[in-house]
Amino acid sequence: MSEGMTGTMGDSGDAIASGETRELPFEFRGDGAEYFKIWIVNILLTIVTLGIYSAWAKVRNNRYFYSNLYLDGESFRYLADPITILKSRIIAVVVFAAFIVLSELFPVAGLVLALALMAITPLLVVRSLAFNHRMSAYRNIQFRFDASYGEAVMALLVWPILGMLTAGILYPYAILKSSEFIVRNSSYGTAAFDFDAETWDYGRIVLIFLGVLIATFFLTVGLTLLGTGVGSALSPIIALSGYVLAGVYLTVMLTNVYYNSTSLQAHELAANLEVPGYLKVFVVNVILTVITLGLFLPFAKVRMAKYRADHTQFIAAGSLEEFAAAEKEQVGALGEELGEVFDFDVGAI
Amino acid sequence: MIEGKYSDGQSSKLVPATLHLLRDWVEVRDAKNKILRRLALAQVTVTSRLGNTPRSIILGDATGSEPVAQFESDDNDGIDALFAVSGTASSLLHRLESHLGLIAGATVFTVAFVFWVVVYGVPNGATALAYSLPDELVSRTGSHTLDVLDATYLEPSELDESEQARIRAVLAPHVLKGPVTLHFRQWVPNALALPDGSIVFTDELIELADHDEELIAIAYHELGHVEHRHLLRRTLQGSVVTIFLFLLTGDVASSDLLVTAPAVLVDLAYSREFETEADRYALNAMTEAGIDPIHFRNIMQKLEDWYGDQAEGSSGMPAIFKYLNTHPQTDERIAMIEAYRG
Repeated sequence: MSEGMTGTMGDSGDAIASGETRELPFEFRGDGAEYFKIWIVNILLTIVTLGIYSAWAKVRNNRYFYSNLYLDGESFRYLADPITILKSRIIAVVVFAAFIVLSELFPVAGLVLALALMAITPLLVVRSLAFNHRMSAYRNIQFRFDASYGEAVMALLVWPILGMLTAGILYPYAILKSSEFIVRNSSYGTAAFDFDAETWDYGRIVLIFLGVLIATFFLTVGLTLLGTGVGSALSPIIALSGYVLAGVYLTVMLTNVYYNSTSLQAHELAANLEVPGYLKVFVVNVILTVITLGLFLPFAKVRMAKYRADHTQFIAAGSLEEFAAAEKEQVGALGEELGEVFDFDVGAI
Repeated sequence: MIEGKYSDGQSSKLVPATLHLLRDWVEVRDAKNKILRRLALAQVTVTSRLGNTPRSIILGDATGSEPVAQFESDDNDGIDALFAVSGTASSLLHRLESHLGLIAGATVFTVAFVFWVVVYGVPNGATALAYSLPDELVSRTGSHTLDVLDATYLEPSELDESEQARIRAVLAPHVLKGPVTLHFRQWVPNALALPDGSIVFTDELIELADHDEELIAIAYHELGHVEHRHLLRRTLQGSVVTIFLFLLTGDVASSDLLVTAPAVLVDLAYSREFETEADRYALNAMTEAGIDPIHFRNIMQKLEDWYGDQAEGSSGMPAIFKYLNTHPQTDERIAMIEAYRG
């Protein structure tokens, strides 16, 4: 089946057999102190310019994280133009403010607005993904994202709602569908990504996640019912630890399945995040950020980026030099900015 | 001359290359000194310097639909020297970002500024705005809030008609003025104030009270919320703080605990401030009406006992949990009442 295809599209089985695959680690070379300086200047200028600079700040933040992420000796690029972001950001903030005020002051109108928002959410997510992919590049080849509204409605609304209506039984399938939607509609230049996971991959994760939550619940209730002073004092701490543990487990496992199921032609992605390691990074980040009233935030972001990069690999089957650029299409930033203020946050696994 | 890598934009292939500036022309040459690309300086864009990250020099028009060739290099000093970018806006940013004195100053300024905005700026702005809106608009807002609550938390009251009428008569001289209306519902022991002036008492609250003066105290507290336009102010303050933090960190998108938690904590702090303001309003109003504020203290204690029995062990919570509440700690509220009584 590999006849007639370009070199990089060879059968992965052949590539492994001929020993051509290379496991390439991702590497994040950013530095907390260096990023802190960029971050604090961003904030200072944002204040001084009454928020206008926030668009430039976003570009510099993103550029820092993209440009410091290396694969095979080359780093990624974030290409967005601050002016484009500024225009969309102004519209997004106005819409968001109007939405909040209207929905809190007029609950019925708010309900209608919320439904309208739900209906356009898939569209905004598609536009946001398209913008972010288009603005991301590696080796001077840009990423792309292209999906129809119908597909987006199925992946982002219909399946999750069915998941809820079936008391969570269909939820693992809904997660599978949404990851599939994001990955299969993404491409690197002209090369499409593919996604190959099974429902049970998610079912297992969701069951263990629920198990941890339920165990936490019973432990907390049990301690409270015992009524001893120590037990009741401990129970909120145990509850918090249980929920954090469950949340970290979910993030770690979903990230692993996401990358391990993603391929780019014959090349594959892999991730091996671990709960104890991730938990350590996360807990230290939260504690130090709270103690420093937020000033640790840039260090926290760098630490997390390092951990994630250190546990993600690209398994290259052959050369990375033969990807072709696709024709560039113009993608506006409005979907992305509305998505930011309304906090959709899809695909940021 | 700068060393780096050239890509033609058509494929992901990178070629080791050098970039030269000859008067108004930029030339990229490969290892054998063969010219890969030559174009006018005016057509070249040098991206701004950012920390130690490698930079792209874009060889052509990046806004068009055609892929664009580029030269990338991590020789940041070399690029700055060759293109004489010092003095331009992009080099200024990098200079700011490497200036230790400025960084220290910016840190202190930012912390102080955020503190000022959150503690004074936003509350004062929202208060001024809330009071400048016409009464009619304020009382019309939230006219359906009760319907929404009825559909969610509240059940119809099971209190006798006569008892309802009696309580109405007791409260009438004190709080049932202007747009204020009283509603009876079932829920947990609680009272609610809605922006349109509706005050909701639950059957459970009425059952908990032993004296009518206790209900008057609660009614005054709720009237305090209405008079001070707390719901409107909290809405304004909450959204402004969220947008403020969003602009500042540019990060609200990542539903990251680290960024959303502060906005929530600030909103809760505003809520506690409003409760204290409503308590103070109630104490003053009770004194004026000749009612001993001890009744306010008593009903607070009963509510505390009731909720304490519901969630046993809450009294053993670490002190830090008080920052997660919409209301101040009951013992603090009671202490305030007692201080007020002298």
